[in-house]
Amino acid sequence: MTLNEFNIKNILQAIGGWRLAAGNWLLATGFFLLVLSSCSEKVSPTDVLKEKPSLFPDYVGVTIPATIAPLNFKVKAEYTAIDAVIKGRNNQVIHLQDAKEICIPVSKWTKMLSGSKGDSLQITVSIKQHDKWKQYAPFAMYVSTTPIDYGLVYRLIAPGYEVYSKMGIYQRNLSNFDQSPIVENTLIPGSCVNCHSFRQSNTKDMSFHIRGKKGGTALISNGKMNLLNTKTDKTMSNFVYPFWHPSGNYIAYSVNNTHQVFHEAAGKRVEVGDAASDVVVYDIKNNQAISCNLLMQDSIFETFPSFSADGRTLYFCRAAHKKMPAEFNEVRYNLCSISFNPDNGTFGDRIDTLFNAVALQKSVTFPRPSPDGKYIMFTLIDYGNFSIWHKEADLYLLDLKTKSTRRIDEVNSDDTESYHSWSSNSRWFVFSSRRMDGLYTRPFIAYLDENGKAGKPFLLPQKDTEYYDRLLFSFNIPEFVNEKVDVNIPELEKLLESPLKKVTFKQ
Amino acid sequence: MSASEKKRFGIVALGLTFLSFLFFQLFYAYHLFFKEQIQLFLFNSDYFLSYFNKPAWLACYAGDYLTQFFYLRGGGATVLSLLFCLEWLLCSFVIKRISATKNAPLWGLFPVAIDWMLHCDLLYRVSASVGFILVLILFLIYSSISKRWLSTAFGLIMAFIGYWLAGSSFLVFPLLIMVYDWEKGRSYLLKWLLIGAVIFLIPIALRHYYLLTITQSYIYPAMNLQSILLRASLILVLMAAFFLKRFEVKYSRIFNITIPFAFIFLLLFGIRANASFDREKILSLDNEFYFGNTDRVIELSQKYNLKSRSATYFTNMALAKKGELPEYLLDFYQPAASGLILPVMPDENWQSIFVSNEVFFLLGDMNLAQHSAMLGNTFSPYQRSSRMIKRLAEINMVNEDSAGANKYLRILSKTLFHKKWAESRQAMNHVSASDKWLIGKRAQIPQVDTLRKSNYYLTSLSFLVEQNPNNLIALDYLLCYHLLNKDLKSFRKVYDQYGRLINRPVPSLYGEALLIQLLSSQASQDEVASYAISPKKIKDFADYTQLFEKTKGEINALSGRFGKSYWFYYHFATIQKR
Repeated sequence: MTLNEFNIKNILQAIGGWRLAAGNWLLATGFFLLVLSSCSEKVSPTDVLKEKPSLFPDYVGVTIPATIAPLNFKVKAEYTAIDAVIKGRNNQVIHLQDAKEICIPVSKWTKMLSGSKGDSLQITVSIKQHDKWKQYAPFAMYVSTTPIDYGLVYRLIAPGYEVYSKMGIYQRNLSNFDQSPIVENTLIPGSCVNCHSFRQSNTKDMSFHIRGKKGGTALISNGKMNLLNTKTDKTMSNFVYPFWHPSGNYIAYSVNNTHQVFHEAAGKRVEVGDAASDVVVYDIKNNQAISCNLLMQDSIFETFPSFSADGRTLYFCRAAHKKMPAEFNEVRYNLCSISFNPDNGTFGDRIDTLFNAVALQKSVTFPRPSPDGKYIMFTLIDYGNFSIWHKEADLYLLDLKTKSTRRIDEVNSDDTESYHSWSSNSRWFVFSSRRMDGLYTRPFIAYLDENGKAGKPFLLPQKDTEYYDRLLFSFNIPEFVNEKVDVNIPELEKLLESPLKKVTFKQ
Repeated sequence: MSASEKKRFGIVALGLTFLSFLFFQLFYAYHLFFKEQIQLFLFNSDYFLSYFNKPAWLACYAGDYLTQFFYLRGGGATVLSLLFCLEWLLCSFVIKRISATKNAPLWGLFPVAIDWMLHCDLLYRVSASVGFILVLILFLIYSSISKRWLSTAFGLIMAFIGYWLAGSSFLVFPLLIMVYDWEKGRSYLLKWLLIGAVIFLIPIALRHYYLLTITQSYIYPAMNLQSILLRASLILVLMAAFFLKRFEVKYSRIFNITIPFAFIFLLLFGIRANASFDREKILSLDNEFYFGNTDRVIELSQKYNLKSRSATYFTNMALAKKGELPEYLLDFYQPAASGLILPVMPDENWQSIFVSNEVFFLLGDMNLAQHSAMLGNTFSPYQRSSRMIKRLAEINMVNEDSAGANKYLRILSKTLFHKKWAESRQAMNHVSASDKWLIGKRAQIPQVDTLRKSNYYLTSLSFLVEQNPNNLIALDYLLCYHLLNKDLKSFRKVYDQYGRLINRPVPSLYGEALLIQLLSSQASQDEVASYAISPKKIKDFADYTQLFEKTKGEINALSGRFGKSYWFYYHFATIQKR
């Protein structure tokens, strides 16, 4: 490593850099105006290809909701200009040309999608190489009539594992590119904000944890906020992984004694495992954690709880206790259930196994029942419960009516597919995947038809196609929300300065 | 401006620029390198727009743009000295305009002295100075507007957007216009109250939008409270200039002597209070190691003789890279084994976490290197560090993860000074199968997998050696780890298993440790001979033992000849468990 010499050439180069930035802006603005005034070059392709273009992000043949933000893209090739003609129903046409990427104006796009519901958009892309236009075969984007929720909430966090610096929970309006912070830990220095959860996309019922010197579990129930101390004498830790009961009266949590260990060989990076874990249900009205012996066995790891759509069954992952980390790769979780009576907060006396992953030498994580009660989607990995760094992690769908399970090949990739969440109407799901660079999780959205067949997933669109390339944060726990989340920050600050509301325990 | 005033301006400007350049270039250069390494300035619209997420976007963008020049040798000192010169010039104009003092060029030095002092802090940003300069310029524009309604309108508009442009420095603006108006005999109480209220309430009103604490909102873009001294100094200087103006004609000589003297005193006092020359030394070791100048690291370390874990950390890496760790380990301060590897723990400071990846990368432990580099990036003050991005690119190249490596290289290709590096690494990645450096680094990675906690260094080192006995750096680290913890049994076991396979004369330190172990295990002559320890070393050991017995372990008697031997360390070093 040597430093550049400090000389006039470098200074001029630097000034050039500044001018370049300013120049880019001027050029971009100029070009934008040029396009607006319909002065784009006429495309006369000398080469018409039979194959469809290879796009980034890959939006060829995807199924999209009618309220999604423009799916801006570029072609994975070297070119000096790119041209796209987007045709919708009723002869609506958007014609765009740019030197770098296709950025579709939000208003035109929104209008076109709205008028093309149940139909498809036909997109013809051409690129200019060596002063000649090359046209690809047109491709379609299917515009679903099924609506999607207002937005997504996710945490942006550097994949830095166990200690934390800057992070925040953010919300994104799906119909445009607006992203805004809900809470950042700059407001609570030295803290970690995590595990945001909503009652079936309802923003009036929300919880998230703030870890650190000043911290607790922020619980917003019917719009009223409280800050809880969730460590009880009978539980091994604070509440960890949450899932709201559909009634809004309970939240299921795991309590975990978690450890992090690192791989030595390349290809695998990190494992997070439990030395012990249990499942409890938090009764919001009585401020009480409730559980039963079947969910708190020393010889068993219980984790990732979730409630069925009718609220009468508690699903969770269950594995035989192993010595950690010595037997880390022998820990395998089955998908199990126990009945739950929401009227009095009691559990059944039997545990059922819904999916025997152990028999397949596999392990289940993140079981997430669809709000319509038809399916449970889960992640399947070779061992353990930290699917986020398992390349083999794939999404599976369990049909609760037929009890059949299948790998959702329509959406899986060679890399990690892990956390996932359902839209409130159960017809869209979002999942995190590392398929882009193997390092950072990115949110993909997919459609699920009435027969349980998924459409081709699409990457959450961004205004700039290079956005993900530059982003040094992972999208963690993407969750759908039905409206804009409004956490009262001054109130949260006050609560952080006040004594926490202590949760009690009842078995 | 009279000829003498012009001359005075010229002398002060040149003197200030020259002095500040000399200071930052000769005494504080490594701080400036480090400041560049903890930021990443990109030339693209998305990056530019990210500045609007917090206040002071203009000050921050311009400040960070200038900070990237700190990458160049002499670049940091040049930028800061020119910035100080501009700051002084503007301060002088402001002071002159408000107080009409003849000594404005001298009074103008005081805020610069404070800013100079503040720049000695590792976390003080150029943006804070730029924000201050912006406020001075805005005030000068305000004060040059003669029409009353226009100046009021300008003041009001600025009141609303000043914080957005320049950050907390703008809080000084209402005070400046109030003093200016008052001095000009214009009393606009309502205007002052309105502008003052808007400016002072905007940070608190917008802090939830910007997600800042109350303190952060009033000091942004600076990071600590000390930064308000810059604003305070301007107000104090204005007050002093104003009240002492009546004496300046009568006592002009006293003023001419006293003010520069006070400036020098303030500057020296400020530098003494705020600069850390020990940290500069540690950063010099860090940077020279980072630049690949291992000989320079050892040379500097010998010169400084610091009793610091961080200094030892860089020295040990430089020695290991040259294959000299077991020869000269004890020539340097060794805080047991904690100078070998810096832990990545929540209670560690961010600078320590920032540089902790270096040793893992050197050893070939790519997963922990990646873990540390990601944390280093996250814990760096702006969460985007050019140095960490470079390291992450290298790690992914070594791991043969081209998608990951390309991501980081593409980011670096948007920078001014790291672009060439990224291009060269991109080229290297394309011919990775034949690149010597990559082949060497890839050979260090274990092929078999195991799990360990991030702070179980012994497990990691043992595994690296077990998987690749030719990884000499890892082997020396493992052996020295045992020696510094006085675990001679483990040392001998590892040495017998792997150390003896290495084709090199028995290193000095290992020979000394082996002799202790062989003696305590009552090894036979043949056994001792089998280690091929040099006869001189054996004689030295006999001398040491004799002297130890003769003086009954008198430390002073032994330290002269044997102070840097392992025998001395073994007998006299006390190990404190953390």
